[in-house]
Amino acid sequence: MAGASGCSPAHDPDETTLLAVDRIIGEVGTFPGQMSYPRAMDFDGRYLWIVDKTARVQRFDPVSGRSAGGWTMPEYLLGKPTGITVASGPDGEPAVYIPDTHYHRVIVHRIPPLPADGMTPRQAFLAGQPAEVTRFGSYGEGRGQFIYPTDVAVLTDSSGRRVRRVYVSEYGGNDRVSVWEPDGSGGFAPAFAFGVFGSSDSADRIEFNRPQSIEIAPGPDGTAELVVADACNHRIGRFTIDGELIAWIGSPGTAGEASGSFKYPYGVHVVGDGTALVAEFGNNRVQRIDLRTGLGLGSYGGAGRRPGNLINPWAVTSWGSAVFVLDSQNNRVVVARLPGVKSRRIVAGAGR
Amino acid sequence: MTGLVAVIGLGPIQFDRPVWLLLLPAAGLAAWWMGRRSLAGLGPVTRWVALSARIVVIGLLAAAMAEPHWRTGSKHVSVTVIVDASESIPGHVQREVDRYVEEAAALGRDDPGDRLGVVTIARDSFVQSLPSDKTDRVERQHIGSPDGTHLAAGVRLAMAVLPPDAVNRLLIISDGNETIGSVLQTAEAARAAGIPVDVLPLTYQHDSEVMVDRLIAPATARMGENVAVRVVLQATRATRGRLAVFMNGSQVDLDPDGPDLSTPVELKAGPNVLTVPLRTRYAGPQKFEAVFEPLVGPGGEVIGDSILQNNRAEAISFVSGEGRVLVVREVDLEAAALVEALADARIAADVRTADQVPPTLAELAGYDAIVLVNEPVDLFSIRQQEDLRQYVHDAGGGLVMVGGPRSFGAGGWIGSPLEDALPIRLDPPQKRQMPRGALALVIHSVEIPEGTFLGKKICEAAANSLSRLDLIGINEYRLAEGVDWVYPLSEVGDGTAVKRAIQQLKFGDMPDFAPSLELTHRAMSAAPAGQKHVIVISDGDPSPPSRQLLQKFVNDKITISAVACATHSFVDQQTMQYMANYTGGRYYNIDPRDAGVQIPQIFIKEAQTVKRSLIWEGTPFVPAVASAGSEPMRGISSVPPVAGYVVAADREGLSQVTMRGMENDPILAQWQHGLGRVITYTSDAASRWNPQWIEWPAYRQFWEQHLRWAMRPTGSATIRVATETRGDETLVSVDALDPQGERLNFARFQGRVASPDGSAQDITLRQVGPGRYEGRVRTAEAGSHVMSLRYVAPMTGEDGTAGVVEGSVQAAISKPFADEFRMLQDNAALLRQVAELTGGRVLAGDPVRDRLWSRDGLTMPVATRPIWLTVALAAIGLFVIDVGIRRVRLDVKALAGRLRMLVSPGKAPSGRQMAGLRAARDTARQRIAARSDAPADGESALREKIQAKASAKFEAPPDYRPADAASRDRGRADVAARPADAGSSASAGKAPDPEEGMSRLLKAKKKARDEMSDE
Repeated sequence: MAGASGCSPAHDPDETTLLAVDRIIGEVGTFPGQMSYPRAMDFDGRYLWIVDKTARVQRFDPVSGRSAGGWTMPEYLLGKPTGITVASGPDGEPAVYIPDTHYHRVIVHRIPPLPADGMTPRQAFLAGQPAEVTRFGSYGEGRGQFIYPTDVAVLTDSSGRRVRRVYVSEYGGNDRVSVWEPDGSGGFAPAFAFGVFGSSDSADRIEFNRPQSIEIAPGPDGTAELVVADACNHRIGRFTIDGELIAWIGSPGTAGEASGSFKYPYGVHVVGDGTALVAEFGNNRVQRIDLRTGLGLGSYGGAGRRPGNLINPWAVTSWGSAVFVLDSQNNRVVVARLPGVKSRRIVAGAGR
Repeated sequence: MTGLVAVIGLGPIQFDRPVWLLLLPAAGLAAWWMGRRSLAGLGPVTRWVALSARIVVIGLLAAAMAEPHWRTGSKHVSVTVIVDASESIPGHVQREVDRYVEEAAALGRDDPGDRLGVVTIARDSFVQSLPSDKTDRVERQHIGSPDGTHLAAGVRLAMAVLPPDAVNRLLIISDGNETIGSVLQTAEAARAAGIPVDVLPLTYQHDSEVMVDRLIAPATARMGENVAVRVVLQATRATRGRLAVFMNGSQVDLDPDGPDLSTPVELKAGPNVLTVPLRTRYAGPQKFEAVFEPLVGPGGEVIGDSILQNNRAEAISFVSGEGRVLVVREVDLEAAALVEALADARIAADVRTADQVPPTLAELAGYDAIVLVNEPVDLFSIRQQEDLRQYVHDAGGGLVMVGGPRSFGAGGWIGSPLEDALPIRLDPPQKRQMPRGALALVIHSVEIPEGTFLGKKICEAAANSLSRLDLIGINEYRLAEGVDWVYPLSEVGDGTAVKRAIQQLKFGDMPDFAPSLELTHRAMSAAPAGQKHVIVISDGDPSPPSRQLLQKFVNDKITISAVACATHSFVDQQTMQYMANYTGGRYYNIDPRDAGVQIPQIFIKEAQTVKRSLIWEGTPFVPAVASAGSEPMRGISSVPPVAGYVVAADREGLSQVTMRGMENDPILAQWQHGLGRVITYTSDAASRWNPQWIEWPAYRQFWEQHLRWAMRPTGSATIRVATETRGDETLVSVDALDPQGERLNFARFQGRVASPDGSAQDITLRQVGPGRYEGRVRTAEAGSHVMSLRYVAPMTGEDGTAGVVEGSVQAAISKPFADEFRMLQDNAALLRQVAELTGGRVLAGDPVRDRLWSRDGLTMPVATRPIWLTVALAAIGLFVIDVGIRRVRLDVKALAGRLRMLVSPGKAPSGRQMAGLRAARDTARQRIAARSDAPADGESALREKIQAKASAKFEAPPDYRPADAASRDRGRADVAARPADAGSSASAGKAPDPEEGMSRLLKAKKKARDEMSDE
C-alpha cells in the first residue's frame, strides 16, 4: 500500500492503492441515514440516491451525509431493486428510474420535494412517498418484457430534458439491453433490443453475462455512447446508441487483477474526459480506465473494512473531483479524491 | 511502589504511579538550595529563570516516572434498550412499549451524538439496531421463538454491542418473568463494568384467564383398568367453556347425549378439578390430552380467557402387558421373514414405516425393542435419531439394527446421534481400502433469519455423515478473494479441520455459478473417488452456468444436486433445476419456513450419495461365528452363507462381535448401552444378501433369541409409579409388590429420566416404607420426561427358596407448555433488584419524567494515552535550555535590532542606530551609578561578591571595556548587553588600554580564587 496518496506520477497501474478518503456516508442499519447492503447509487448533481437490500430508496446530502428523505418500494417480498437512475422523465421533469429487478419491471417515480426544515429524518422519509410517473415491462423473454432488469440509462436531446430513448439491461438468462422510446402518452414503448446470454466477443453477435450497469455518455470522440458493465464476462462494452459494438475492454479470459482487467465490474461511470471509473465487485476496487485504449490508469481501494478499503463495491459515480463509491458490504458510501479525476458531470438528460 | 497512592488526575492528565511525584518537592527543594550557590553568579532574573527551569525539569522527570496518561473524555450517552418481546407480554402492551421508546428517545436528545440501540429478548436475543445516533425507535425484525424469556442473554448481548466511546446505560423493558437463566447474575457483570441498568417494569395482570394447570393420570396402569384422569384448571374469575379430552389422539366422547364430543364446564375462580374416567384398552403408553375451549362471542372474540397457549395439558400412562416390538421398514418384503419369525415366537410386533414411528420418546418407550430394517438415516429427523439413542440409553429399550443397502454407513448413519449407541463403528477401517466417495459443497446463500447459523449446521451435518476416508470440499464466494475453497477437497479425517473451516464460511454474494462450478469440477474430476457428488445451495439468483460447463460434469460422472432456498422467482428455481436435471442430481425447492428442518435432512441424504462404496457384495461365504458367551447366540454354532453386508469396524469397549465377514469385518455384534441393549446385523434379513437364511431351520431361533435378549425385561413384580410435579421438581413414588402380592422390600432401583432437550439424569429411589420407594427429579423443561426404572429385589419363592425378582417399568412426566404461559402476573420485583444492584433507575413509563438521556449518575468514559515519553523529552529539552540560560544570555533588544537590520538592511536610518546606542550607553551608566550608590548592607555586599565571583568564572569584570565592541557584537550578541559595549570606540569617550584590561582581569581572577579558597 505504499504511496497511498496515489498521486505519484510514477504510480504503478497494476498496484491497488488506498482511496484518499474525504468522508464516509452511512452506516449499517435500517433507520433513515443508515443502509443495509446498498446495491445501487446515482447522483443528481446535488444529492446521492441509494437503494439498498431493505428496498429503501434514500436521498443523501453528500456534504452533511444526512438522509434527505426517501421511500420504500411498493413491493419487495420477492426481492429488492439492484439499480437506480435519476434522469429526465417522459414528461421532461426530473424522475427516478428504478429497475425493480425481482418484479421484472421499471418504475419511474417523480422526485419528491425536499424535507421541510425541522423535520426529523424519519418524518422526512415518511413524507417522501413519491408519485409514480409510469411503469413498464413484465416478466418474460419477449419484446417489452424483462427478466431481472438491472439498470436504466436515459438518452435525451441536447437540452437534456426531452427523453429520446430509455435503455434497460437485464440478466437471468435473458441477458440483453432493451431499448424503449416515449409512446407519446407519458409512457414508453419497446423499440428494439440487443444481446443474448453468452460470452462471445464477436461484433456480429453481442453476448452478455449479467450486464449490471449501463450509462449513456459522450465517448472519447464526443459522440454519445452506451457503456455497459458486462459483469460476469468481466468486461466493459462500448456501444453506439443503436446497439452496435464499438469495443470491448477486458474479456472473460483476462479476468483478474491486472491493470485493464476486471473481476465482476458491477458499476461503470464515464468521467467525461475519455476515461471511466469501474467499480469492481470481485476485485474490491475502483479502476480508472482510458475508454479509447482500454488501458488501466490506476486502481484504488483493496479489500478491507478500513477507510480507503472496499468490499464488493456495486457502484461508482463522481461530481467534479469528488468520487462516490458505493462500498456495499461495508454499508457505506466512500467520498474520495482520485488522481486526475475532474469530471465534467455527464448527465444525459437528467434535466439538471 | 504501585498501590501506595491511588491513581490521581490533574486536569486531562492522569498519573498511574503518583508516588513518584513526591520527587518534585524533595528534589525541587534540593535544587533550590544548591542553586542558591551554584547560580549565585547569574543576574537575578537569569538566576530565577535558571532555577525555575531546573525545578521544572525535575518536575517533568518526576511526572514522567509517575506514568502520566492523557485522558480524552466522551460526552455522548448511549442507551441500549432491551425489549421483552416474549409472548407473556400482551400485544397491546408491546405496542405501548414501542410508542414509549420512540417518545422517550425523542425527548431531551439534545446532543446529536447520543445513541440508541435496541435488543429484543424472548427465547433468544437479537440486536435489532446497533447503538446509533440515527436510531429513534424499536424496529422488530426477527425475534425468534417467543415462548420463553431469557433476560440474562439479552443483557449479555446488549453489553457486547455497547460503544466504547460513549457513556452507556441499559434499559430493560420487561415483565420480569424470566423462564431461562438468571438476570441477576448478568446484572453483577454489568455492575462490575460500571454500567447502570435502568428498568421499566411492565405491570399487568390477566383479569380473565383460564389455564389447564395439570392433567393427572396414573403413571402406570394395567390393561383394561379404568383410570381416573383428573384435569386441574385455574381460572382467574368464574367463567364457562368446554372441555375436550383426547386419548391416543382420538377425542373421547364426554357428552354422549349431545352432538358434541366435548363437554360444557362451569369454572369457579381459583382451581377447578374435573375427573374423567377412561378405560385402557391397549398395552404400552397411553397418551391423554385435555383441552379447554373458551367461549367465543358473536364477533369472534374470546370470552373469559387471554392466553390460549396454556389451555392444553397432557399426561401419559404406561399400561403393562405383553412385551411389544416395533419393526420399522419401508418395503414389506425386506422384513417379511423376520416379522414371520417373531410371530412364530409369539413376540407381538407393530410393523410400520419410518414416517409412522411415534414422534415422541414417551411413546417409543412403550415398546420393549425397536427393529430397524434397512432404514436410511434421512427418514429420521435429528430429533428422532436423538430419541432413539435416548430410548436405548436412558429408557432402557432394546434396539436391533438390521442391514441392507440403505443401512448403517451406507444409509448415512455415520455421525448420527444413534451411532454412539451401536456396538460397531460405522466408519470402515483404513485397511479396507474401499473405493471412497467425494462430496463438494458449493455454498451461496441461505436467506432466512439465522441462515448463516443454519448454513454452517448443514455443512457440518454433511461432513459428519461421511466416513473418514471420503473426500469433502467446500467452496463459496468469499468477500475479498472471490470464489475459493473454504476447505479444499480432501479427506474428512476426524472432521476437526473441516468443522473449523465451516466456521469460516461467510456466505458471500455470488455473482455467477460458473467460477464456483469450474473450481469444483477441476478438483472433483481429478479426485480419486468412486462416487462424486456436488450439492449447491443458493437462492438461485447468480448467473446460470453454461451448458458446456455442465456437460463436463456429465462427462466425468459428477452429479449436482441443487437446493434452492428462498428463491426470488421462478427464474431462480429454473436455474437450480437446470443444473440438477442436466447432471442427473436432485432438485429441492425449500420453503423458507421449513428450511430449518428440511435442509439438514436433505444434506445428510445427499451426502449418502457418495456412500454406496461401503457395501461389500460378492460370492456368498459362510461367516465365522464366535458365539461363546453370547446369550443370543446360544446353541447356534454356524450360519448359512451371506452374499453381502455393509462394511463397518469393531468398536472398542464391551461390544461383542459374534459373526465376522471378509477381512474380519463385524457382521453381528451386541452390547449393553446405558440401560438398554443393542444388536447390529450388517447383512440383511431378506433374499438379497441372505437367500439361504430364510430356509435355515434355526432362522426363527436366531431372531427370537436376539430379540428376547434385546427386549427390556418386563418382570413379574407389580410396580405402581405415581408422580407429582411441584415447580421444577417431580416427586416419584413407587409401590412395589412381588408376584405373590407381598410388599417388595430391599429392592434396588436403577433409573434414568430422559429430558425433552435430549439430556438425561439419574434418579435415585430410597425405600421410605414397606414396599414404598421415593425419589426426586428435576423436570424444569416443558415436554415429556420419560422415566425408566430397572429393579432387582431379593424374593422368597412360594417353595421358600431364595431368589431374585427383576424387571423394569416406565413412566412419563408431562409438562405441557412453557413457563412463559404460566405467568399470569408480572415480576417487577426482580427488575427493581437489577436496578438497585447496578445503580440504575426504576422508570415510571412516562417519557417526559423518565429522561432517557439524563446524564445523572453517569461517569463519562475516558480513553487514556501514555505520554511519559513526551514528558521525558520535554524534560530533556528544558534541561538543554537550562544549560543555555546559564551559559548563554540573549539580548532581546539587540536581537530585535539585528532582525530589523536583516529584514530591511538599507532602510535603517543611521540616526536611529546612533540613538539606540546612546540609549544603551545611558542605561549602562545608570546601572553602574546605581551599583556604586547602593547601601553596603550585608545582602548587597554578598550579591556583589557573588557577582564578582561569577564574573570571574564566566564574564568580564564590570569595568572591563572591550577593545572593539562593535566587532564582538557581530560574534556574540550578549556582549552588547554589557554596559561597556553600549558605545563604539568612537563614542566611548576614552580608548581602553589592553594592558590595563588584562591586568585587571587577572586581578579579578586572583581575587575570586582567594575568595573561593576562603569559603
